[in-house]
Amino acid sequence: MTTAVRQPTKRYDGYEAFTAGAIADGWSDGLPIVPPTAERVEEFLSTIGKDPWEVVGTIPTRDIEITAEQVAANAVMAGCLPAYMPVVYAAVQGHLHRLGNAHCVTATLTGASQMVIVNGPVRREIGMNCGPGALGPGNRANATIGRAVRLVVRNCVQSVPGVADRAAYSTPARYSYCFGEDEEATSWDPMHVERGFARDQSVATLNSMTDAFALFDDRSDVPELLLDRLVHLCRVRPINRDQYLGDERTMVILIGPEHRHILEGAGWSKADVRSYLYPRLTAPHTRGEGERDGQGLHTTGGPTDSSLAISAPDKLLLITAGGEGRQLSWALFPHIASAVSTPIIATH
Amino acid sequence: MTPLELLADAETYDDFASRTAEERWADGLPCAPYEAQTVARTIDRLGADFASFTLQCAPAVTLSDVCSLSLLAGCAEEHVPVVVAAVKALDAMVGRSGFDTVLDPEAQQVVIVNGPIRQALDVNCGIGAFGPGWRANATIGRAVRFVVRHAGVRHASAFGDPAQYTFAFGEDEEGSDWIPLHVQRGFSADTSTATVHSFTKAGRNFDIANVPLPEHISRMAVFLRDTASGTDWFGDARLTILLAVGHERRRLYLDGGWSKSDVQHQLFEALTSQDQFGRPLTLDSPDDVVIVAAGGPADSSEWCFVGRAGSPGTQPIPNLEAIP
Amino acid sequence: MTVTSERLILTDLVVIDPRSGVLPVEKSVRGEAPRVDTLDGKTLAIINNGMGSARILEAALLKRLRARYDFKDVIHVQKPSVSVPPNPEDWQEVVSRADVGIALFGGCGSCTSRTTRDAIEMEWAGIPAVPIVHAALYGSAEAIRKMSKMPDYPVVTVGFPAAPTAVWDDDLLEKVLDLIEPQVLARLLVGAAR
Repeated sequence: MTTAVRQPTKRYDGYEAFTAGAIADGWSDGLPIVPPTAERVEEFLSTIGKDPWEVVGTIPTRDIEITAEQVAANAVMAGCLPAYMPVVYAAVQGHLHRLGNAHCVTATLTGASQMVIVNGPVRREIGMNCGPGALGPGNRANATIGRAVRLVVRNCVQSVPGVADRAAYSTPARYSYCFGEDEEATSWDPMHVERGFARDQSVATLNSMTDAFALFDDRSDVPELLLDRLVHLCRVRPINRDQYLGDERTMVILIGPEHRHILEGAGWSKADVRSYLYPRLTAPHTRGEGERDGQGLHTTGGPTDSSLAISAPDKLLLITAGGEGRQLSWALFPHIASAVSTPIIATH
Repeated sequence: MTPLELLADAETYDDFASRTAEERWADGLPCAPYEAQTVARTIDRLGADFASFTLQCAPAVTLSDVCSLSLLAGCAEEHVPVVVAAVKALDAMVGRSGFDTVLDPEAQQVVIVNGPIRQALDVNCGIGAFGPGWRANATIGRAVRFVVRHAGVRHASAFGDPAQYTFAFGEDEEGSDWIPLHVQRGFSADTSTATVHSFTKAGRNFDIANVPLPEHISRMAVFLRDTASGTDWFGDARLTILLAVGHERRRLYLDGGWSKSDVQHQLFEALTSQDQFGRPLTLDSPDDVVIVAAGGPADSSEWCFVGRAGSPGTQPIPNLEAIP
Repeated sequence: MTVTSERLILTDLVVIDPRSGVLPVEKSVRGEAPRVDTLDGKTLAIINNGMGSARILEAALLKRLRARYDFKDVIHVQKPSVSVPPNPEDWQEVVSRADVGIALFGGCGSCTSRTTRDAIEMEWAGIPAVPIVHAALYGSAEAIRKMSKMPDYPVVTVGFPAAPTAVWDDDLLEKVLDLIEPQVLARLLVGAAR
């Protein structure tokens, strides 16, 4: 279907009429949307140098093709500025990658969210928040980029809540969940560099995840004690091997600034942290024959101790973001998808 | 500038968008432009009872501010009374427990709606209730956060949380035989209310083990104690647990003949007893385990929201008189 | 104060529809394959997503079917994940050899739609098929059959007390089979179940 066909258009007298019509047509997540006028969409497309009809990705299960024009329209609606569009585009590419498993992660009962982690110079160029409060509201780039991806999920992946999207509860993280890694605050290599990108290459990583488990630890003052507690937290819930994801299965752990100070203060790099964590996270569990895990599902691992099926240390992704004041780190449990990193390419 | 003045000054949509983005109460997402007369009309429709509206914890915040911020958040006029009730409920909590305890910058607020207004406004109580897709849920939750920030609460300085964009849902009164929250709290079933809980930690208990109810309660207690640990930066401040229970868990309790109150009492006992599961929680009474029915089918989990801000506040939602 | 739209220069808006799938599609509408009059001598494909104890369900259902019918062959397809298509080589085998198909088990939000789609794609390949899903996820099956332009495509549902996770004890499994066996046959065979 890759022909030079444009999306249909609609005409409205004004903002009020547009809002009523767009809500009736199901375009919105419930919050106000910016009218995706032809001019704005063209401007957004010019930032990525794509033809409107260019296919970004497909969802074979649903006979869906998603085009650059559709992504641009959703980015406009989300409230993005034109300079954010290349980030949105790269994040959507990550979602629609085979390993993003878009049909699965956007329809699941669990209500997985699409976390967008941004690395590289673009964070400063567009004024992203990587520090205090970065996981929540308050920054236009963070908020609207995260939202644009979720509007694409609604309008282009066609995962409408209560219809194809079966999330029983859902979560507010499915409005928007986007931030930058705080590369400047640390001597640690940023995630994208660890994944093989040049430091000055901007990258968007799309991480479809279920729950963020918080490790609150204000007592451990040496790396081993802190990381042992992190291991214990991560092993509470199993991550099982999925044949489709195979060896590409990833897990992202966010080390908060207070915990990072302890690790850096002891001279530990990200690689040191990973070397300590990986064998302990993947160590075989000690569950007896025939015993099921704490969720009653799998006959592997103890009730609150299960091995994580992460195939290699480089699939354990470590990031750092946030501000000081709470001694927290986060285990970001994946849904059935790998974190996919895609270069952000802007045409100027 | 007041929210009203700000709007009056903008000359283009982009101008409006960039001005609103700079406001202290903004969250980074687009705001909705609105007519100034809508604010005046909404205040009129709220009636004489609200002529002396004031917030004890934020006396500078006017009813006009609350209306304007609601409309900016994307509310229609009809949603504004829910926001007003929620803000008053929050104010009462601050009065009881203190500003810093209730409105810690890292804390999140959830608005729970009961009563007939849920149908009138299409407040989602079932599948997807905590997330996007329903204007009432999205804009009411957002408006409350706008007011909170306008009242002076700073943005989070540690991590923040997406629940600080918006978090509001209705109790699934029709999908459950349980007594609704507002009736438990002394309101008649046909009164509409807004209840607000301020929390610092949320957790989902995913557990599909098919065990008898008493064992299920023990397992839940382990999960709840675990979730509650790491919320003690306020030391002795009173702990409250809000539990949101979906279809499958409710099925489990109903099959066992357990009312909401039974679950509250059983959990209270399990959480406060000294046993092999570790340190008991400090709860004053089963009322500190607040339970609501919400969420969709087929999922074997429940959500808990743990706060140290004291008991959630509940306020009746005022009527809007008909547009003259 | 003048109307906001006028004042903010937001009048006469021409907006781009942001949705996929809104352009007319030229493909002809595909439908169900013709049913068979018996399962004797047929090759049955079972596409299993591995949800919960779906393997146990498959084995128990097959045992019942084998008690009634003499299959020429049974192709067992185990998918590599709960909500993705079968591996291409497995799908090729199904398409080239199967006469009838069963897809199971829809017990979660995304695997229910994918399981239903597995059955629909078998229909499009000329193989009469039936998906088995949990009643609590019926909305998921409804969503995918609309997207597949087969809004009335029947699905066989398993209800409570059997849980959606398909982790059932032996007694419950037998009760489930009592209910679904005649429905499965009714969907595959011309006329009423034999």
